[in-house]
Amino acid sequence: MKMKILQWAVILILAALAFVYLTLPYKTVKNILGIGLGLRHNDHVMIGTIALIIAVVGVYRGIVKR
Amino acid sequence: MNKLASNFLFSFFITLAMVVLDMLYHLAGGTAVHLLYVLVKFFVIFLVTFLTAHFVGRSTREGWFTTISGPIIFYLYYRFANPTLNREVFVLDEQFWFVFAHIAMMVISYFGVYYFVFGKKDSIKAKSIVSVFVLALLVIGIDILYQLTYVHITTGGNEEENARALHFEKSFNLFALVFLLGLAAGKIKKHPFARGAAFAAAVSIAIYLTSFSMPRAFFGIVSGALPYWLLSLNFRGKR
Repeated sequence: MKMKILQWAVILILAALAFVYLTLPYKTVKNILGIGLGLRHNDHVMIGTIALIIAVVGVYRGIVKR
Repeated sequence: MNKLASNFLFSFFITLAMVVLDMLYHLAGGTAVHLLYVLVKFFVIFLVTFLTAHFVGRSTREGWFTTISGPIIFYLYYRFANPTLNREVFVLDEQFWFVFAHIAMMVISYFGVYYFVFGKKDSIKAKSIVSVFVLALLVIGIDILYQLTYVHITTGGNEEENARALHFEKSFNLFALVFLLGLAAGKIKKHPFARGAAFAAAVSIAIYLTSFSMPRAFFGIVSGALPYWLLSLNFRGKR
């Protein structure tokens, strides 16, 4: 049960990360949130995409019966 | 072969086959294909396929999940990223309907590789045709990656030059030729090594005949031998 809660917490964090890096404008990420990491816009989008992929696969893993 | 390597190879084959089908489709439709686009697509599709295969499993159900989620996530990347090519010069695959085209390519490649790996033994003839189809896609994939990388290096990373490097007719002719060579290689009943070596040499000659490029023809030995060897490995593993 504890593992399950941890798994969903990680998925939520990754989903939030994906939302921030994938969808928000470059200036918002860099200047307002201050988490630009010195990277270009497309690199942010790639970070968001990777987080989204892990979150989506995690959700699928969590809901399907194996 | 352990589970990690088996899933890695399974995902690699699906992704490369999908990217090649997609590249041929884009070239036929006059949409730009360049190295960075191919690498990003390869990475995104591979990651979805591999993570699903490794942490959930490999079955037709996971196949449908992968074939739908992979292209949708790639579309999201493409929508939010800045284009690196000039839209006024090149046609980009930005429209939403390309998601369905990508899903179709993914269905062909996922279920082609899945059938090749897990297909029943009573359909050897169909299975051998599917395996030669997958083999031809992988050979063309490695050859195309060589071409794009070569142009990328020689032009100092000029993406507009890169987007003009590939031509549909040449790529498709080579694909058809390699497919026929694969069918012919299957007729060699003797030693598997001799069959693989003959196939690699034939691929190299076919590349030379379609491109008249000696370095590419030499690399063709790798383009032919590597997928042939990898496909001959038993990577069924545990599902």
